[in-house]
Amino acid sequence: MNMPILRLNKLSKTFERRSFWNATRPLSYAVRDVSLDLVKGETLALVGESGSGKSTLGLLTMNLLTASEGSVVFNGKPLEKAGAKDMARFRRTVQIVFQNPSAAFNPRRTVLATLAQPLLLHGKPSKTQLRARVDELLETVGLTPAAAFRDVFPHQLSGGQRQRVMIARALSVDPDFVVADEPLSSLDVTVQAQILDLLIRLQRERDIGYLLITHDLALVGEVADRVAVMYRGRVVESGPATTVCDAPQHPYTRLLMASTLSADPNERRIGAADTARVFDVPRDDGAGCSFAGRCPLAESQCKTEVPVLGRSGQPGTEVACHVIQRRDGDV
Amino acid sequence: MSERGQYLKYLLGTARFAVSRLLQSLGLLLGVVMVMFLLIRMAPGDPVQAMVGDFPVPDEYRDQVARQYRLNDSWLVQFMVYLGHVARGDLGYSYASHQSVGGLILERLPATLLLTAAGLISAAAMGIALGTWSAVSSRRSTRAVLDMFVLVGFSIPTFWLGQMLVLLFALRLGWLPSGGMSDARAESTGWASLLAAGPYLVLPAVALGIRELAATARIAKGATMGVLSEDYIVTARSKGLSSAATIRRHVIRNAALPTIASLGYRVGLALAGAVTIEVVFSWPGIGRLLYQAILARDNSLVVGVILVIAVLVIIANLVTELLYRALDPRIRGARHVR
Amino acid sequence: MSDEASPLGARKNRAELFSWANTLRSGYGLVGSITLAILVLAALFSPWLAPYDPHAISSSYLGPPSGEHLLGTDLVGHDLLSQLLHGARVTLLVAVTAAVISFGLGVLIGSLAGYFRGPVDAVLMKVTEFFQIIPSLVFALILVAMLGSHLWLVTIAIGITIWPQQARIVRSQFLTLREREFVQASRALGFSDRHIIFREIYPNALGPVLVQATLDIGIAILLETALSFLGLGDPNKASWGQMLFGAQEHLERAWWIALWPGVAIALTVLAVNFVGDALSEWFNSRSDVGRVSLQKRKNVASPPAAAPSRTGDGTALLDVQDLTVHLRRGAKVVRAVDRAEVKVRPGERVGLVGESGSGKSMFSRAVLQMLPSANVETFTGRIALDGIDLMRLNEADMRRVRFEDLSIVFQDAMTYLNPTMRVGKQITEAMAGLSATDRQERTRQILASVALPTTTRFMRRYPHELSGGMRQRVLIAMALASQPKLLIADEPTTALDVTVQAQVLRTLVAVHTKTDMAMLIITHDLAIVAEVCDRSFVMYGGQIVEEAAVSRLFSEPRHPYTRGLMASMPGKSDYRLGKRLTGSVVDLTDVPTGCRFAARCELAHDRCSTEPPWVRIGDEGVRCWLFADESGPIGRSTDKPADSKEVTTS
Ligand SMILES: Nc1ncnc2c1ncn2[C@@H]1O[C@H](COP(=O)(O)OP(=O)(O)OP(=O)(O)O)[C@@H](O)[C@H]1O
Ligand code: SF4
Ligand code: SF4
Ligand SMILES: [Mg+2]
Repeated sequence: MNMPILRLNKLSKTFERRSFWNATRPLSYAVRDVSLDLVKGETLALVGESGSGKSTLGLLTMNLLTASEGSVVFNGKPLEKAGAKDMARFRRTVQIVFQNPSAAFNPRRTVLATLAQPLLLHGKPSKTQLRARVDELLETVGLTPAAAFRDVFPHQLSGGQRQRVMIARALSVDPDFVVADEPLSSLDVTVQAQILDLLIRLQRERDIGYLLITHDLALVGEVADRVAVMYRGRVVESGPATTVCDAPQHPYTRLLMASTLSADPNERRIGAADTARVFDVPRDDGAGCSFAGRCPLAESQCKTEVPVLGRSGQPGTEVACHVIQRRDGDV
Repeated sequence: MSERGQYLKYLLGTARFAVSRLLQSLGLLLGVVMVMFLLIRMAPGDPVQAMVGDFPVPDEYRDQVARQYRLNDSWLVQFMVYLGHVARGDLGYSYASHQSVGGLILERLPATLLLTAAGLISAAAMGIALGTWSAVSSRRSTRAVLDMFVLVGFSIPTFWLGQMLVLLFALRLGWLPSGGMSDARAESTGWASLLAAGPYLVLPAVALGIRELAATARIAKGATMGVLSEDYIVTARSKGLSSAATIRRHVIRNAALPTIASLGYRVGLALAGAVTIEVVFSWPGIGRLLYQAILARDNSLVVGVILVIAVLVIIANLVTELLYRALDPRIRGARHVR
Repeated sequence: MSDEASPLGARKNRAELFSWANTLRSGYGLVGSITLAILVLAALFSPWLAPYDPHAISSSYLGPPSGEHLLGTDLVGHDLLSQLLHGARVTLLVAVTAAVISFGLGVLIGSLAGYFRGPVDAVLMKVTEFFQIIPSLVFALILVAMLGSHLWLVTIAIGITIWPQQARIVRSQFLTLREREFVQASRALGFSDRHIIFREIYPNALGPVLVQATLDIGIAILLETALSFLGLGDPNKASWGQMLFGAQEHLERAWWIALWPGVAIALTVLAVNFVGDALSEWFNSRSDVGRVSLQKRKNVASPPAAAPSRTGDGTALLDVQDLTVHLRRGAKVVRAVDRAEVKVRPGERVGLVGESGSGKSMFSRAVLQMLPSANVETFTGRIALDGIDLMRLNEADMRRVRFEDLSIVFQDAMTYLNPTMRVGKQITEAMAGLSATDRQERTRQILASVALPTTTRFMRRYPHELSGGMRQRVLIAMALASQPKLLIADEPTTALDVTVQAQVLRTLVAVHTKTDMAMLIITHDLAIVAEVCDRSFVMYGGQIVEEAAVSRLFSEPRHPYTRGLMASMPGKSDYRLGKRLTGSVVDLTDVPTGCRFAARCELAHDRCSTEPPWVRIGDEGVRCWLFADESGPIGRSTDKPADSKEVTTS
């Protein structure tokens, strides 16, 4: 395996709310104690329900948010200790692609200006070189002929085309790693497949690593090498994508997999059964396992002790669950 | 938790909120006092003269003031002493009118409250009605007419409108009195005096209210149009509710929220408007008092009036915020939103 | 930029031009700008325009308007017209300077607060609040009273009392823009803060800031006027406000002294406000290009209904034939639905799949007779529900149908629920003709059927207090309240997490099995169709392109678009074959004359330049030339595309 480009080391992020009574109090842990290795050429999928902290972790990885605790380690050095030169290198190495291509562009710039800006920042190309580079980028992401797209404003393009321009912008600095936060979910189904193909092709051609943030589990099975499942800010299970999808261990991962829709009308998974259970999502007071309120396996230990990621029965996967760990430990 | 428990929790939350806002307001008031203090001290000339105004000051009084306010000590001491006086409700002595500032203001305050309340409440009520009506009306022209009215309302100087009203309705037509608050010959007290003030109130309240009417109508219209394009209106229609029922049950309350939120701010503006209006109509309120104090350079009185205005604005803001919390279930428990 | 290289660019420029033109044509902007231009010219050329020296004293003081003095004279004998012309200079100078000061302070303070946030923001916002607690007139009043009445002091006093509004605007622009993805992207690319502030944030914050700066000019004029009226203006500079000072005592004898300056002030401020309004409208219209306004929803085609005719073939509950919906969007026509044929039988679960912009939501709106009436261009066809022709109902009867027979569940439960009404009330509201206690009872039953708590406490909750899945179920409960014959669910689970989606779908299925209600599920997600539907329609470019039993649809899709859709679905075996559809959904404002799918179709051939017919195949159907041969359908089953091409072109 390649050396990791980035190590996320025990990252936590709290959003604080100013309150008059006690000067500050933590509003919520968006991300809690997450450690991950991000590797060149490999796709790590990050899945979890809405609000589980996926996007926050993505922004922390990009250093667009400052972690409350822990650090992002780049080149063996934590980013907060990095100097201007390291920081510039970091910016050239790691890029981001957002979910919503309509908000991702300065509405006052043409595609050419949008793509030329980063090229000018990181080098001093001549005018013709610049144009050639921009055209090349546009062609790389499948916007051909480039001339038809150069002088257009992003909001005049279709969603898929905009997403391609966004990918071109990320590629402009020739990164080794790209954080893609739900890059498909605002696109039409048929266009999603096109963009995904583009991402996969780029990975093959340039050996780019991805942190693919998604809620689409079917997608994970198709493209990811590894997967990390988040619940309420914590990674509760991580491991090779095929293993996690085929033999989920953590009760939450199991629920997740059981909830994915089948693509085959002859193998329906959603029965009419089981309507009695309603989750009035219980409050999480920080003590114990945050899944305990919904967990069919919960025991008394779960309410008091926070489970940490540890080895599970499946090779290569780690699980944060008392019951599973004990079971597999005993066996 | 039980219904009752929830309600108690809500009350508790509201009380907490009110207290915290009050404390914050005290901080702001402190700021106001400080700025006023600095302004008086910065005014050119002798500090005692600056406090007293354009009156010959007997020497013994000068000494007394200097001692009382420690004018020979450092500014900080002076400020603390001054603050101490204000905190005790002692706003100073108006040499020009031989009366304590606090007493003077208390005497004049009811007139101003009457004027601004009359102007603001009637304007707000009519503004909300007009704005809502024009928003739900299907004709574009209705909205265009309201827009025009709003812009004109925003453009006319309040006091000048007052003058024109006097010119027309008092001097030319003689329908209403041109100024003052009561007939000097009539002797009435209590509710009777309030009633007697009625005719005197009409013109100034109208002059003061037009701008507020325009402002409220504009906000109410915007808010209503906003609510009408909300998805839950589609839901209401898809349930089969009639337009009237939809407007009554789903539009009005939601559209009222932003309008109410703006009212606190408008109280400040109305008080400012009252200064000129009271001068035009010789209305015996604190606005005219402020004007007279400024002309007489009676700075203790000036500062006193300004503090009172600041307190009124703060109270108005607080009341609005509490009202808003009571009406919007989303705000309860969360922090206030501006 | 040449038109040829970028047709889109050209279109955009024209659109831009149009919006400017609109701003001007709207009247307000134009009238305002012209008035202001005339004023500025008059002020500049006042020495030449004024009939008299403004300081010259004529023999007639307090003279009424006359041939000699068009507007009359004041109490000293100055010519009012000349004074007015000269006063314009002073007034405009003060107002513009004060507005510039306010602009500078507002932008500076707002930017600092928005950029640094945290404690800096807190302190600066307290300062702003401070300035708003003392009304600006009062504040300016005492500043001038304490510090003196020179013109420049008055100007500064006005400037430093009116900036808070601008500061608030700049701050909120900063706070929202800095979270926007394009700003984040610039940071990720390594741009400096300076670049981000000056190149990304300011240009995009320009609109509201400029509007406020314009309005500030008007505010400054009014303030200067009020100050002068109160005797605190600069006595040596005859501004319009200064002309009003002292007019009060002579109202009775010489109304003209007060009238003219007031009119001049009101007109000027009005012109400024016109321009400000027009500007803000222009900026707003630019920021939401192409948003369809759903302002008014009303039945469009409502000829007075005689006794509702019972029509239809009797077997279908919902029978839609030849439904066409065209909407206006600006100068264009969106062909949202074209000759759609949809049947739903009682008790059936039917899907309607399509990508965004395929017209599926407009289809459901049309069935409910709730199209955005202001934008409807064409609305024809037949929509029969249980034999009643909905197109011919008047609004009151249609309302009864919505009340009793037809319900809809929308996608985004949060926005489709009234935030200030308790959920229980929102459910009971949808019930007809029951006593209060019966309603309560019925509400409990419905809540139970969608697996929600049946307690009074739950019913007294507000939407924001519920989780997303609960809200969606409240929406479903609301739809069930009237025991409808047909439930239309428009993307009922799109906004939800997978686990919640599964619960909601389960709820829908459970509710369906307990009643004899039919369901039409509109979605972009084939997997939902696979999970819950018996039969499904596929929609593309405003047309129904395929109708089939679900098992059949998935095993042997007929239409090339359906096949492409299947191949785009992760988890399907076709997915890995990578036979992707190219291009994107056809633009409904610009549909081709032939097959709407032709541009993306691998199998397109000569015939496809004319519109393909709807080919019935037993109970199913497809809109494609490949199946139109008399010999019967060609290329059904899993024929390789290459083969079928051969067959059809032979
Ligand atoms: N700027 C912020 N201020 C306060 N809270 C925040 C902020 N950003 C995120 N949060 C909170 O942090 C938690 C994690 O949010 P995050 O956006 O990372 O989730 P997510 O997994 O990306 O969700 P989604 O799938 O909906 O995108 C949520 O509770 C969210 O409300
Ligand atoms: S730790 Fe306990 S509550 Fe948490 S997932 Fe495991 S069994 Fe369930
Ligand atoms: S009609 Fe022609 S273009 Fe259209 S789907 Fe069929 S084969 Fe393709
Ligand atoms: Mg996210």
